[in-house]
Amino acid sequence: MTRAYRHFLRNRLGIAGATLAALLLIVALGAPWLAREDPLDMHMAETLRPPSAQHWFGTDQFGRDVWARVVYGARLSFTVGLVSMLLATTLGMPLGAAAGYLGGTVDAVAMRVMDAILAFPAILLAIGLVAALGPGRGSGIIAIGIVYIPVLARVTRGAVLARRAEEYVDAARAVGVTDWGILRRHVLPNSIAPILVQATVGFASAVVIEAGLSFLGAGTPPPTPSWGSMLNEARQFMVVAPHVAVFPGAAISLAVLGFNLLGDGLRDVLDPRLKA
Amino acid sequence: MIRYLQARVLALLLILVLMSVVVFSFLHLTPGDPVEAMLGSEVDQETKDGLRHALGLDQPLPVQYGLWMSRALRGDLGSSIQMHQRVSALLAEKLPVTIELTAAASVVGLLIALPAGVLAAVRRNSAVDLGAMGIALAGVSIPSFWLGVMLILLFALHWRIFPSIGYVPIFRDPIGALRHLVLPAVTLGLGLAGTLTRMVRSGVLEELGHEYVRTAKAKGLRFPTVINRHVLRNALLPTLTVLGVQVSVLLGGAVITEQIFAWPGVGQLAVQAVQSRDYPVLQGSILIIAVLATVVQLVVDLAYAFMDPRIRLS
Repeated sequence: MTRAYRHFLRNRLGIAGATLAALLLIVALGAPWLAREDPLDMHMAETLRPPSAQHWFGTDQFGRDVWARVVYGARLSFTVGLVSMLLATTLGMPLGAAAGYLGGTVDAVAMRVMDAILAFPAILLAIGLVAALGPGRGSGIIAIGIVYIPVLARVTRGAVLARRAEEYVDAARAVGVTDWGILRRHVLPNSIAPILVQATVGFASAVVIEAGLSFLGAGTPPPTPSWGSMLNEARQFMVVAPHVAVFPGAAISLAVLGFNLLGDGLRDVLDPRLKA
Repeated sequence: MIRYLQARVLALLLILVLMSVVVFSFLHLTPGDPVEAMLGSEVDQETKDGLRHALGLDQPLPVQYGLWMSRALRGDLGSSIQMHQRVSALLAEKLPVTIELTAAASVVGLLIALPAGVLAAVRRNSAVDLGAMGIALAGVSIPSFWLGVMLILLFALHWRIFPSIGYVPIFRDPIGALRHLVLPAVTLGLGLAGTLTRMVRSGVLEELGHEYVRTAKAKGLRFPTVINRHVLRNALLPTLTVLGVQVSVLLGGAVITEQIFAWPGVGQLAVQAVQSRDYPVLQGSILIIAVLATVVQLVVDLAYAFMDPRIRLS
């Protein structure tokens, strides 16, 4: 691990990604202290003000502080990314591991179902699921989680298939370790790298899909600050106040860029075979 | 080739059936009564029962799926609850608009990615390479809904070069249609350009290392000729496959792009259907886009297998 760590430190883009991701985490955790104002406080006398010393990112159509809303939006984005990827990994990893390790009918059935889910454009499937589950942050998280189950299942299956043929697995079987024991103690710990990479890249997509859903009015309902809904509301006012559209969009782009770079960096270090 | 074709088409049919189950199940994931979700709770019992019967919701689930599927296969996807029109008629009207946008975005993506990827590979580690990779990374990271809004802000509202929103049918006014097409196509195509540039670059780099390139250069061919005649042909095959996969991403992105630019396509229809809880329209829109994405991917894969025998024989 120390060698991998040193290798990662030499990857400049990976470091930049890790820094951006860490920044997002700090902003998300420290939102109450960093925000300076309540993101929901309306000041109708100060609507659509440009950036100033008092309002770093200006104010929106209700006189709310855009900086405070962007900061609290980071909290929402981080939560959605983290929880949806945890959900996708918790369900996708055992599914993919079972399919890869058991093979045969289990593998064929599970993977065809996963293929069918993967065949949908991600945002479209998420829209359908949110429409079915009802609007709200919870359904957004569940929808994104479901969309990503097949991705995690496929990666886990591939990694398990590669490990299953290794000699240490034969050795473990020869000394009488059960299938479950082999999977848990030998195969899965050695398959973590590609799963981690995929979950990191998936985190970036989760942030985009959540913002996209909110932008379309199918995600987090107002007045909760979400980067996507802020951008959607900003469209009506961007002629007179472009800043209301610029900052939330820049925040989404930086967060996505950060996790994409981090994912690429991790891939280079942990799984050089996957390097594009 | 025939056996490969059979296997691929069979796999496609299986996936289409499973996809239809997913789309069918949307209505049944709804917590509570889907009819009440669509009509609201104030409607009288008779109207609710009428819609329940019309949608077949009073039947057992497998029967409902069978009925829905057999109608869908005959092109009958039910009627819109809000717009009082056949879903199939709505889709027939909206789908060409979405296809036009997606095709234009693919052209934009290729027009940027081909030169950028080749230049980046040929001038590896130079400022050109760094710039191309920077643009590629930005293309992948900037979400289309922000890019679209920024393009409107700059090119429509500030500089007034292109119209901000709206759609003009290409046969009615070709020039106006093209002017209305530019911003949406760039919005949707830039993400694709990002992915493809990286593919083209790594493809060309890989080919440049092969011995036939050295031979071609040694026999006195000019470098651009080597690239055009030898390297690009080999490097573009994997890029084509990626384009096939990316069509699904493009069709998903079209949902958002159509919303930004007020394009009357299937994506906009789907979003309206979510807002008005018009489940038959939502199911139809999602199904048609997903089927289109899957079929395009199959066609691209088949074209690839046709051109490269190693694929169909493995």
